[in-house]
Amino acid sequence: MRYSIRELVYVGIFGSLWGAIEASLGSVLHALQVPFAGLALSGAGIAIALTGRVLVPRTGAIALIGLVTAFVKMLSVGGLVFNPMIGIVIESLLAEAVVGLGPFSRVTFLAAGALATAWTLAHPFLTGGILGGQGFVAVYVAMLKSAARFLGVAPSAVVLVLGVLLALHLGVGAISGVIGWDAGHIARDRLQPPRGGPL
Amino acid sequence: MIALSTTGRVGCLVISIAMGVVAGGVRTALALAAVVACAAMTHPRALRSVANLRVVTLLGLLLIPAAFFGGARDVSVAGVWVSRDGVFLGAQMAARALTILIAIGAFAGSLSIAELSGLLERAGLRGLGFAMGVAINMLPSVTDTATSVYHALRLRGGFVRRRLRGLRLLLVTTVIASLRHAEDIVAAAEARGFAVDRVRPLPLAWRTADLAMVGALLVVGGALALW
Repeated sequence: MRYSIRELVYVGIFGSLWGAIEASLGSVLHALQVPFAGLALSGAGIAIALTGRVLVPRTGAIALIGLVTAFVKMLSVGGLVFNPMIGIVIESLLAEAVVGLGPFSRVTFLAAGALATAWTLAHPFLTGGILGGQGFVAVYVAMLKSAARFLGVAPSAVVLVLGVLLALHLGVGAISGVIGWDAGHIARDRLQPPRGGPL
Repeated sequence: MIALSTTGRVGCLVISIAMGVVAGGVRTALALAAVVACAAMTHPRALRSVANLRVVTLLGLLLIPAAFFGGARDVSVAGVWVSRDGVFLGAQMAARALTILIAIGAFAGSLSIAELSGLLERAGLRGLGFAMGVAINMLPSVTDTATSVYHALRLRGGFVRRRLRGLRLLLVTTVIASLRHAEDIVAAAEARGFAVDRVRPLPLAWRTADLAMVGALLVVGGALALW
């Protein structure tokens, strides 16, 4: 799919916006060790990417914005951000897939945001696997079993905690999707020249 | 210091990551040693950049839980019982993580935006290099815009009630303020005759240093794979 220069500039600006959020807000949240920092960043980023998808109505626009953001993050923080880069790209690809498969509607954007943001739950497993290989998984399974024995937590409680976590991630993502849809349409309307054209 | 071309750096990155991911056991340490040697010769700053608290914490998180929960605790270190198998496994994970971090650090730290753009164009991602250039150049301006809009909304009580509406307003205002510059960039690009179809991809060129470094890494990687 060939993009016009204007669309590429828009993609660059949305990538820059997401990158700015990752670099500024992300650094602060991670430095302060705020819980669910990844979820907040992911929600904000996906809202920006989905807003961009309304203004650049082309297949692949969200994925392109995600790629640009990942490279912006790589270059701005010095390269030691392998995990967030993978996360950004996968989240944008998930959102792209949902928006590409469904009709262009608010519900599709809601689902895209929810699925993309839910990835932050699964992300540590993938990056752990890449960095640590199969051994990493084995160690953490053993650690979980030991911790469960130590805490005396019933497996059903683990399921409950996981359920609440998943609901939280899906909820934040759904809100991001709706905000992205609304913001995109408001911005598109305001950027259009007034009817009748300039005098 | 050996100066590599972009092609050589890509080759070193690919082989280094492959070695880090595939090597197991003692071979992980050898893969790390090879990548450290490569980084020291081509981009020493990458080695300094991993010596920070964040990376040390990451390595600690890989090593310490493994030492305690990675198997039966059969060795006493300063009065603390740890698992020998767990320590070995944790060290292997830490070495693998460090290998990947150094390889990526050396690649990203030594590559300019122009080189990266050319590389992406060569990879078939037409227009991505241009979009990335726009993103990097717009980053300070976009950050300032977002910060100003956030403070303006906060000072006017934009997030006190109806916070979701406040967030939407923040996003809309930031997007519109940032896109104001878009028309100027489009006009500037068109005035200079830029067209996505006419972008020249990065020429693939191998220097002697590239061949030597990539060849050496290939030999080490091959030896580790056959061992």
